[in-house]
Amino acid sequence: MSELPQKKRARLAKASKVVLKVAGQHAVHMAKTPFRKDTKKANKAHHEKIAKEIFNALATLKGTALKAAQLVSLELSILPEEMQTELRKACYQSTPLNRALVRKVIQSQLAQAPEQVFKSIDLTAFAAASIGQVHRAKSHQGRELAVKIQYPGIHQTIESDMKILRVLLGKLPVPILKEKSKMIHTMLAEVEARFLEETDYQNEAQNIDWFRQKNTINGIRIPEVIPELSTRSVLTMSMMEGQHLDEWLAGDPSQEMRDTVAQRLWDFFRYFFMTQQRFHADPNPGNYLIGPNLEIGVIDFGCVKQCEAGFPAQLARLVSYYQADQIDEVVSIYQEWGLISKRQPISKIKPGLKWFQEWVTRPFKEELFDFGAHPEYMSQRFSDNFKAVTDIIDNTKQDFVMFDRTYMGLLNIFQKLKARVRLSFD
Amino acid sequence: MKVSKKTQKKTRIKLIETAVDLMIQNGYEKTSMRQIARTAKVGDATIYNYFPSKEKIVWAYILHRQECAVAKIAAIPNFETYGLQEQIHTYFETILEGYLPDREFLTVAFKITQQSFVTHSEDSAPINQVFITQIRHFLESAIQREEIPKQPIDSMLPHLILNVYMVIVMYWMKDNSTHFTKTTELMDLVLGILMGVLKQGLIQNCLDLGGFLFRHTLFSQVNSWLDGTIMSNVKTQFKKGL
Repeated sequence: MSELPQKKRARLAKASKVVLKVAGQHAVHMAKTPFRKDTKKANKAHHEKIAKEIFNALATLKGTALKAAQLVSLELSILPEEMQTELRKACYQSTPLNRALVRKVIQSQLAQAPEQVFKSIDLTAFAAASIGQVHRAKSHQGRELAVKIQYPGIHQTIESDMKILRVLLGKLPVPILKEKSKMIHTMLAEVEARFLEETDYQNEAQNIDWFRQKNTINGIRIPEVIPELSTRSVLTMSMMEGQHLDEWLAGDPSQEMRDTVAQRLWDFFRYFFMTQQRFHADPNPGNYLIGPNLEIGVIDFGCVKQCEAGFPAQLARLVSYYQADQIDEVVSIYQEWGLISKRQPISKIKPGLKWFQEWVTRPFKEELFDFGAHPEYMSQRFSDNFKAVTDIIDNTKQDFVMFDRTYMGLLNIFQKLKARVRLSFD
Repeated sequence: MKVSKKTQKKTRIKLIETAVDLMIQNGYEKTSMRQIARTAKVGDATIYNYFPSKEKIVWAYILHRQECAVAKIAAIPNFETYGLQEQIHTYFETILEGYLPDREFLTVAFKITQQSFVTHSEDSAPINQVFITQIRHFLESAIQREEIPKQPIDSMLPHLILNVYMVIVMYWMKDNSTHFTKTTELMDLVLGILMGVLKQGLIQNCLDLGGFLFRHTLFSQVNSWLDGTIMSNVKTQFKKGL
């Protein structure tokens, strides 16, 4: 269940306490610095201590705010690699709604008791969704259904959790958070907008219908919405059978099978991004069900990003400029997007981009990029070289936030699959 | 002419529903027994065979809603497999759902009946009885399936749950969140705490504490009365008496 107001205040107070604690530790550290002999060692210990506090605070965040925290900390590398990985694993799971609550949601949303709406329904959820849970049901016509029920009051929880995250990120005495406040602001605005959109299941129903209609990618299946049994907080769809990606991978599928799945995921993303300027922006492995003949059922369309018309083409151009070593053109696109300030001298920018250029273009250079042969590829995102890019970035662009989340998410999946994938934006 | 029990029950319900509709439309004061009888197509005198006054109809309305809720939950498939919290929560929600079409009337009803079916009266007793029997049944089943340890469920505990329920109803009457989400949240929270206490077998301690607090509050209340100037004589007398 969502938080009641007094609980919200208590959590805000808790976040403020973390801020104070970290600020206190920082002040003590700074005061002692002039008297220390081994400043470097002390600095390291100090940063580790602060990172631990921040990690502890971020890891207690729930659902959406946790996702946002993962995104920000990854983007700005505010935590050391091991904590970053740990935070990515932190997955707050809301307490499932009990049967009384499920009844109440169905009754208030569909104006009838569950046993009247469906021929049968299991009021105990079989899967958790990001802001709700999914139940198996059968329609009166005998059709197998998946009914997604939203946690009551989740809308307010998102808003309050994002407030807590803003307090944490805005007040912590970590230099990078101050320097990149503009960027954090843009990221959080985008993330919050998408997450709030997710709370409207009618919007998701429209997304599903739209993708179903437009999908031409072989091997991608999209569920069918049952509109008369769907509302803002209840979404009824045809049941998709299949194994979750992780579960499927545990069954040790062959290289060819892994390649096929990865390629289908990439083609699905590329097609919609490039031709429709719209894409499924939640590449969580739990959102893909691998069915017979390696067909992939894509099941969560709450987070869909509609970009500005010219953005995908510009992004494809960016990749080709990188490949052709036309760094001036690259910089000019970044400047146009507002990622790099025009005030920054090009002499500072170019060295910062050098390593990144090689890293980002590597998968595009080969006909088939073998993630299995480059097991280090995705973890290089945590390297010091990567931090050099963060140094020259001033802000981000809302379209870019969700693109980056999806692109990196997919590449993480490919890495996990040790797949060979043909990556291209053409 | 002898009227069958079934017809009697039907007429009784018809009178209650008509009365509530009229009271919502015209207000309690402006609704007369005759008007109720005529709208329900019952003889002007016959209505008195069922209810001696308007107030009694209001009481009957509350009792009727309670009985409907009990019947409704009995029809829920696999309700016996629900946990104690789920059963009580569903019961509460079902009662509120029944009140929903006449929600604004509930405020009037509480005023007329001087609220409370918490305080014991001849009129409130049958209503309390329905509620308490149902709650006791939930508790007994929970003890039987070992969901909660054995504990005294005869007297105070069902009454405590009745009090909790009343607070929730009061909250619900003022709740303007969509689909009364806030009430549902409150119910979930309060019942969650109650379950925690019941599962620990701590209820007796809580009831003792409740009794202590009650006495304490009562005594401090008496003290504050005695501080008032009007009551100064009483205070003196009281002290003398001591």
